[in-house]
Amino acid sequence: MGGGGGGKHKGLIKQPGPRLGKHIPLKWISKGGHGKRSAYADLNLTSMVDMLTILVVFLLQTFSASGELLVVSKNIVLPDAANYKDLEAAPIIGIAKETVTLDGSPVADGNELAKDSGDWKIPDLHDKLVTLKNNYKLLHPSEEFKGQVIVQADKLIDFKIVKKVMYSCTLAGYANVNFAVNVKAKSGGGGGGGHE
Amino acid sequence: MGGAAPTPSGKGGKKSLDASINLVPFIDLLSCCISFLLITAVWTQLARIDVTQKGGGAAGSSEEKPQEKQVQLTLFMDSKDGYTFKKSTGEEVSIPLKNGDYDLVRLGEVLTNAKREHPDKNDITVKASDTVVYNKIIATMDVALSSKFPDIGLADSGGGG
Repeated sequence: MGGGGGGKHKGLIKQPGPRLGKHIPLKWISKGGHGKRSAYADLNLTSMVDMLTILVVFLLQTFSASGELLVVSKNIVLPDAANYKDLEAAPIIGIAKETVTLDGSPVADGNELAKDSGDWKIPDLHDKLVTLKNNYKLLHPSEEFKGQVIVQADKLIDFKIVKKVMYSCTLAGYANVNFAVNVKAKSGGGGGGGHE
Repeated sequence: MGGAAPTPSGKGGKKSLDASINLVPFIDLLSCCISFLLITAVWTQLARIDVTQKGGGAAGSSEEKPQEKQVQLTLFMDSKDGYTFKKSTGEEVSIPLKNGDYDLVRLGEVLTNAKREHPDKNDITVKASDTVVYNKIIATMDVALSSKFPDIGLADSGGGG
Protein backbone atom coordinates (compact mmCIF):
# COMPACT_ATOMS: atom_id res chain seq x y z
CA MET A 1 0.00 0.00 0.00
CA GLY A 2 1.24 3.33 -1.05
CA GLY A 3 4.79 2.34 -1.27
CA GLY A 4 5.93 3.62 -4.57
CA GLY A 5 3.85 6.74 -4.90
CA GLY A 6 2.96 6.37 -8.54
CA GLY A 7 -0.30 6.94 -10.40
CA LYS A 8 -2.82 9.77 -9.77
CA HIS A 9 -1.72 10.59 -6.26
CA LYS A 10 1.80 11.18 -6.99
CA GLY A 11 3.31 13.61 -4.55
CA LEU A 12 0.68 13.12 -1.86
CA ILE A 13 1.96 9.91 -0.49
CA LYS A 14 5.59 9.80 0.29
CA GLN A 15 7.75 7.07 1.46
CA PRO A 16 8.37 7.35 5.20
CA GLY A 17 11.83 8.29 6.24
CA PRO A 18 13.64 7.15 9.35
CA ARG A 19 11.62 7.33 12.62
CA LEU A 20 12.72 7.35 16.24
CA GLY A 21 12.09 4.02 17.80
CA LYS A 22 10.88 3.44 21.30
CA HIS A 23 14.24 2.13 22.21
CA ILE A 24 15.88 5.51 21.79
CA PRO A 25 16.25 6.99 25.35
CA LEU A 26 15.79 10.64 24.48
CA LYS A 27 12.93 11.89 26.60
CA TRP A 28 12.74 15.29 25.04
CA ILE A 29 12.21 13.71 21.71
CA SER A 30 9.75 11.03 22.81
CA LYS A 31 7.62 13.69 24.59
CA GLY A 32 7.05 15.35 21.30
CA GLY A 33 8.62 18.78 21.59
CA HIS A 34 6.80 22.11 21.92
CA GLY A 35 3.14 22.75 22.77
CA LYS A 36 2.28 19.45 24.30
CA ARG A 37 2.72 20.34 27.97
CA SER A 38 0.41 18.52 30.34
CA ALA A 39 -2.84 20.31 31.20
CA TYR A 40 -2.53 19.33 34.89
CA ALA A 41 -0.84 21.97 37.07
CA ASP A 42 0.65 20.39 40.12
CA LEU A 43 -0.27 22.43 43.23
CA ASN A 44 2.16 22.21 46.08
CA LEU A 45 -0.15 21.33 48.99
CA THR A 46 2.47 20.95 51.70
CA SER A 47 2.80 24.67 52.40
CA MET A 48 -0.97 25.00 52.38
CA VAL A 49 -1.36 22.24 54.95
CA ASP A 50 1.36 23.88 57.05
CA MET A 51 -0.51 27.17 57.01
CA LEU A 52 -3.82 25.52 57.92
CA THR A 53 -2.20 23.65 60.79
CA ILE A 54 -0.70 26.84 62.19
CA LEU A 55 -4.11 28.53 61.92
CA VAL A 56 -5.80 25.67 63.76
CA VAL A 57 -3.21 25.76 66.54
CA PHE A 58 -3.57 29.53 66.93
CA LEU A 59 -7.37 29.36 67.04
CA LEU A 60 -7.30 26.49 69.52
CA GLN A 61 -5.06 28.53 71.80
CA THR A 62 -7.48 31.45 71.78
CA PHE A 63 -10.50 29.17 72.16
CA SER A 64 -12.64 29.93 75.15
CA ALA A 65 -14.68 27.00 76.44
CA SER A 66 -17.07 29.23 78.35
CA GLY A 67 -18.07 31.11 75.22
CA GLU A 68 -19.21 34.70 75.10
CA LEU A 69 -21.23 35.34 78.23
CA LEU A 70 -21.06 39.07 78.04
CA VAL A 71 -21.76 41.32 75.11
CA VAL A 72 -20.48 44.80 75.81
CA SER A 73 -22.69 47.63 74.64
CA LYS A 74 -21.35 50.12 72.17
CA ASN A 75 -21.45 53.03 74.62
CA ILE A 76 -19.70 51.19 77.46
CA VAL A 77 -15.93 51.02 77.72
CA LEU A 78 -14.89 48.57 80.40
CA PRO A 79 -11.91 49.25 82.66
CA ASP A 80 -8.86 46.99 82.59
CA ALA A 81 -7.69 44.72 85.39
CA ALA A 82 -4.84 42.28 85.71
CA ASN A 83 -6.29 40.28 88.61
CA TYR A 84 -9.53 38.64 87.66
CA LYS A 85 -11.76 35.59 87.74
CA ASP A 86 -13.72 33.89 85.00
CA LEU A 87 -17.19 35.14 84.25
CA GLU A 88 -20.23 33.13 85.22
CA ALA A 89 -23.73 33.37 83.89
CA ALA A 90 -25.74 35.95 85.84
CA PRO A 91 -28.05 38.90 85.20
CA ILE A 92 -26.12 41.70 83.52
CA ILE A 93 -26.53 45.31 84.52
CA GLY A 94 -25.10 47.79 82.06
CA ILE A 95 -24.27 51.29 83.28
CA ALA A 96 -23.64 53.83 80.57
CA LYS A 97 -23.65 57.59 80.92
CA GLU A 98 -27.15 57.93 79.53
CA THR A 99 -28.91 54.86 80.77
CA VAL A 100 -28.85 51.85 83.07
CA THR A 101 -29.99 48.55 81.60
CA LEU A 102 -30.79 45.13 82.98
CA ASP A 103 -30.19 42.35 80.46
CA GLY A 104 -30.52 44.91 77.69
CA SER A 105 -33.75 46.59 78.76
CA PRO A 106 -33.49 50.09 80.22
CA VAL A 107 -34.36 50.46 83.89
CA ALA A 108 -33.15 53.94 84.78
CA ASP A 109 -31.93 57.18 83.29
CA GLY A 110 -28.27 57.90 83.92
CA ASN A 111 -28.72 61.65 84.16
CA GLU A 112 -31.39 61.24 86.80
CA LEU A 113 -29.14 58.95 88.83
CA ALA A 114 -26.29 61.43 88.62
CA LYS A 115 -28.36 63.99 90.48
CA ASP A 116 -28.17 64.13 94.23
CA SER A 117 -31.15 62.43 95.75
CA GLY A 118 -31.83 61.01 99.15
CA ASP A 119 -33.00 57.63 97.99
CA TRP A 120 -30.40 55.29 96.55
CA LYS A 121 -32.88 52.68 95.46
CA ILE A 122 -33.64 52.36 91.75
CA PRO A 123 -37.24 51.06 91.79
CA ASP A 124 -37.39 49.54 88.29
CA LEU A 125 -34.06 47.77 88.68
CA HIS A 126 -34.99 46.50 92.12
CA ASP A 127 -38.37 45.14 90.99
CA LYS A 128 -36.96 43.39 87.95
CA LEU A 129 -34.18 41.83 89.98
CA VAL A 130 -36.67 40.56 92.54
CA THR A 131 -38.68 39.02 89.69
CA LEU A 132 -35.54 37.39 88.32
CA LYS A 133 -34.67 36.04 91.73
CA ASN A 134 -38.14 34.58 92.24
CA ASN A 135 -38.04 33.03 88.78
CA TYR A 136 -34.68 31.47 89.48
CA LYS A 137 -35.87 29.99 92.75
CA LEU A 138 -38.96 28.64 91.03
CA LEU A 139 -37.04 27.11 88.15
CA HIS A 140 -34.14 25.78 90.23
CA PRO A 141 -35.72 24.62 93.48
CA SER A 142 -32.86 22.29 94.36
CA GLU A 143 -30.09 24.82 93.74
CA GLU A 144 -28.92 27.46 96.12
CA PHE A 145 -29.45 31.02 94.96
CA LYS A 146 -26.02 32.63 94.68
CA GLY A 147 -27.26 36.18 94.35
CA GLN A 148 -24.74 36.91 91.66
CA VAL A 149 -25.02 39.83 89.29
CA ILE A 150 -22.59 41.22 86.73
CA VAL A 151 -22.16 44.96 86.56
CA GLN A 152 -20.62 46.26 83.38
CA ALA A 153 -20.09 49.96 83.82
CA ASP A 154 -18.41 52.52 81.66
CA LYS A 155 -15.03 53.38 83.05
CA LEU A 156 -15.77 57.10 83.27
CA ILE A 157 -18.93 56.71 85.35
CA ASP A 158 -18.97 58.32 88.78
CA PHE A 159 -19.07 56.05 91.78
CA LYS A 160 -22.33 57.67 92.80
CA ILE A 161 -24.26 55.82 90.09
CA VAL A 162 -22.45 52.53 90.71
CA LYS A 163 -23.24 52.89 94.39
CA LYS A 164 -26.95 53.26 93.72
CA VAL A 165 -26.98 50.25 91.42
CA MET A 166 -25.12 48.15 94.00
CA TYR A 167 -27.49 49.26 96.71
CA SER A 168 -30.52 48.27 94.63
CA CYS A 169 -28.94 44.90 93.86
CA THR A 170 -28.28 44.21 97.52
CA LEU A 171 -31.81 45.22 98.47
CA ALA A 172 -33.16 42.80 95.86
CA GLY A 173 -31.08 39.97 97.30
CA TYR A 174 -28.15 40.09 94.90
CA ALA A 175 -25.29 40.61 97.34
CA ASN A 176 -22.63 39.04 95.15
CA VAL A 177 -21.74 41.83 92.75
CA ASN A 178 -19.18 41.23 90.03
CA PHE A 179 -17.58 44.01 88.04
CA ALA A 180 -16.88 43.11 84.44
CA VAL A 181 -13.41 44.10 83.28
CA ASN A 182 -11.21 43.75 80.27
CA VAL A 183 -8.34 41.38 80.83
CA LYS A 184 -5.06 43.24 81.00
CA ALA A 185 -1.73 41.49 80.68
CA LYS A 186 0.51 41.93 83.69
CA SER A 187 3.38 44.26 83.00
CA GLY A 188 5.74 42.98 85.66
CA GLY A 189 7.23 39.54 85.94
CA GLY A 190 5.81 38.79 89.35
CA GLY A 191 3.84 35.57 89.52
CA GLY A 192 2.44 34.06 86.37
CA GLY A 193 -0.84 35.55 85.18
CA GLY A 194 -3.62 37.33 86.88
CA HIS A 195 -6.11 34.52 86.82
CA GLU A 196 -7.29 33.51 90.23
CA MET B 1 4.52 16.03 47.55
CA GLY B 2 3.86 14.46 50.86
CA GLY B 3 5.17 11.08 49.83
CA ALA B 4 7.79 8.70 50.99
CA ALA B 5 10.26 7.84 48.30
CA PRO B 6 12.52 4.99 49.22
CA THR B 7 15.26 4.36 46.75
CA PRO B 8 14.48 1.39 44.53
CA SER B 9 16.92 -1.43 44.87
CA GLY B 10 17.63 -4.38 42.73
CA LYS B 11 15.68 -5.37 39.67
CA GLY B 12 12.23 -4.60 41.01
CA GLY B 13 12.63 -0.99 39.99
CA LYS B 14 9.90 -1.11 37.43
CA LYS B 15 7.11 -0.52 39.89
CA SER B 16 7.42 2.87 41.56
CA LEU B 17 7.76 2.77 45.33
CA ASP B 18 6.89 6.44 45.65
CA ALA B 19 3.75 6.40 47.85
CA SER B 20 1.92 9.70 48.00
CA ILE B 21 -0.46 10.53 50.85
CA ASN B 22 -3.78 11.93 49.77
CA LEU B 23 -3.84 15.36 51.36
CA VAL B 24 -7.30 16.39 50.24
CA PRO B 25 -9.27 14.88 53.19
CA PHE B 26 -6.68 16.31 55.55
CA ILE B 27 -7.21 19.76 54.11
CA ASP B 28 -10.98 19.25 54.38
CA LEU B 29 -10.64 18.42 58.06
CA LEU B 30 -8.44 21.42 58.75
CA SER B 31 -10.81 23.71 56.87
CA CYS B 32 -13.74 22.47 58.95
CA CYS B 33 -11.72 22.98 62.15
CA ILE B 34 -10.80 26.52 61.13
CA SER B 35 -14.37 27.40 60.25
CA PHE B 36 -15.67 26.07 63.57
CA LEU B 37 -13.00 27.83 65.61
CA LEU B 38 -13.47 31.11 63.77
CA ILE B 39 -17.22 31.03 64.34
CA THR B 40 -16.92 30.23 68.04
CA ALA B 41 -13.95 32.50 68.69
CA VAL B 42 -14.25 35.08 71.47
CA TRP B 43 -12.07 37.99 70.59
CA THR B 44 -12.66 40.22 73.62
CA GLN B 45 -11.36 38.67 76.79
CA LEU B 46 -13.68 39.68 79.61
CA ALA B 47 -13.45 38.74 83.24
CA ARG B 48 -14.81 39.79 86.60
CA ILE B 49 -13.72 41.20 89.92
CA ASP B 50 -15.69 40.14 92.95
CA VAL B 51 -16.81 42.73 95.41
CA THR B 52 -18.93 42.66 98.52
CA GLN B 53 -20.93 45.68 99.41
CA LYS B 54 -20.24 47.10 102.81
CA GLY B 55 -22.21 49.71 104.64
CA GLY B 56 -25.85 50.63 104.12
CA GLY B 57 -28.14 47.90 102.85
CA ALA B 58 -25.42 45.31 102.60
CA ALA B 59 -26.08 41.80 103.66
CA GLY B 60 -23.07 41.49 105.91
CA SER B 61 -21.73 38.05 106.61
CA SER B 62 -22.62 36.74 110.03
CA GLU B 63 -19.70 34.34 110.18
CA GLU B 64 -17.10 37.02 110.73
CA LYS B 65 -14.90 36.76 113.76
CA PRO B 66 -15.43 39.17 116.61
CA GLN B 67 -14.27 42.55 115.44
CA GLU B 68 -12.22 43.32 118.55
CA LYS B 69 -9.64 40.72 117.62
CA GLN B 70 -9.56 41.46 113.92
CA VAL B 71 -7.82 44.54 112.64
CA GLN B 72 -10.03 46.35 110.17
CA LEU B 73 -8.30 47.76 107.13
CA THR B 74 -10.00 50.59 105.32
CA LEU B 75 -8.89 52.50 102.29
CA PHE B 76 -10.54 55.83 101.67
CA MET B 77 -10.60 57.28 98.17
CA ASP B 78 -11.25 60.88 97.41
CA SER B 79 -10.87 62.69 94.12
CA LYS B 80 -9.13 65.60 95.88
CA ASP B 81 -7.16 64.01 98.71
CA GLY B 82 -6.19 60.74 97.09
CA TYR B 83 -5.91 57.68 99.31
CA THR B 84 -6.07 57.42 103.07
CA PHE B 85 -5.29 54.00 104.47
CA LYS B 86 -6.59 53.44 107.97
CA LYS B 87 -6.33 50.60 110.42
CA SER B 88 -8.77 50.08 113.24
CA THR B 89 -5.80 50.30 115.56
CA GLY B 90 -5.54 53.99 114.73
CA GLU B 91 -2.63 53.85 112.33
CA GLU B 92 -3.15 56.03 109.28
CA VAL B 93 -1.24 56.53 106.07
CA SER B 94 -2.09 59.28 103.63
CA ILE B 95 -1.23 58.92 99.95
CA PRO B 96 -1.90 62.20 98.16
CA LEU B 97 -2.52 62.54 94.45
CA LYS B 98 0.57 62.51 92.30
CA ASN B 99 0.40 64.77 89.24
CA GLY B 100 -3.35 64.86 89.60
CA ASP B 101 -3.71 61.08 89.56
CA TYR B 102 -3.91 58.39 92.20
CA ASP B 103 -0.52 57.05 93.27
CA LEU B 104 -1.06 53.35 92.66
CA VAL B 105 2.62 52.49 93.14
CA ARG B 106 2.71 53.95 96.63
CA LEU B 107 -0.63 52.32 97.40
CA GLY B 108 0.79 48.98 96.36
CA GLU B 109 3.71 49.45 98.74
CA VAL B 110 1.45 50.42 101.64
CA LEU B 111 -0.88 47.49 101.08
CA THR B 112 2.01 45.05 100.72
CA ASN B 113 3.39 46.28 104.04
CA ALA B 114 -0.03 45.88 105.63
CA LYS B 115 -0.26 42.34 104.30
CA ARG B 116 3.18 41.60 105.71
CA GLU B 117 2.07 42.84 109.12
CA HIS B 118 -1.24 40.95 108.99
CA PRO B 119 -0.69 37.86 106.85
CA ASP B 120 -3.98 36.28 107.94
CA LYS B 121 -5.97 39.29 106.90
CA ASN B 122 -7.72 38.80 103.56
CA ASP B 123 -10.33 41.50 103.56
CA ILE B 124 -10.11 45.19 103.01
CA THR B 125 -12.79 47.82 102.61
CA VAL B 126 -12.54 50.47 99.94
CA LYS B 127 -14.60 53.54 100.72
CA ALA B 128 -14.97 55.93 97.85
CA SER B 129 -16.52 59.33 97.62
CA ASP B 130 -19.24 60.03 95.06
CA THR B 131 -17.02 61.84 92.60
CA VAL B 132 -14.43 59.09 92.24
CA VAL B 133 -14.38 57.69 88.72
CA TYR B 134 -15.24 54.00 88.38
CA ASN B 135 -12.05 53.31 86.45
CA LYS B 136 -9.97 54.40 89.45
CA ILE B 137 -11.92 52.18 91.80
CA ILE B 138 -11.24 49.16 89.61
CA ALA B 139 -7.54 50.10 89.44
CA THR B 140 -7.47 50.38 93.23
CA MET B 141 -9.16 47.02 93.64
CA ASP B 142 -6.70 45.56 91.19
CA VAL B 143 -3.82 46.79 93.32
CA ALA B 144 -5.48 45.37 96.45
CA LEU B 145 -5.85 42.00 94.73
CA SER B 146 -2.19 42.14 93.72
CA SER B 147 -1.32 42.74 97.37
CA LYS B 148 -3.11 39.50 98.32
CA PHE B 149 -6.33 40.98 99.65
CA PRO B 150 -8.85 38.86 97.77
CA ASP B 151 -11.91 39.85 99.78
CA ILE B 152 -12.62 43.44 98.85
CA GLY B 153 -15.58 45.34 100.19
CA LEU B 154 -16.83 48.48 98.52
CA ALA B 155 -18.68 51.17 100.39
CA ASP B 156 -19.59 54.78 100.27
CA SER B 157 -17.20 57.01 102.19
CA GLY B 158 -20.23 58.66 103.79
CA GLY B 159 -20.65 55.51 105.77
CA GLY B 160 -23.98 54.09 104.80
CA GLY B 161 -27.18 54.66 103.00
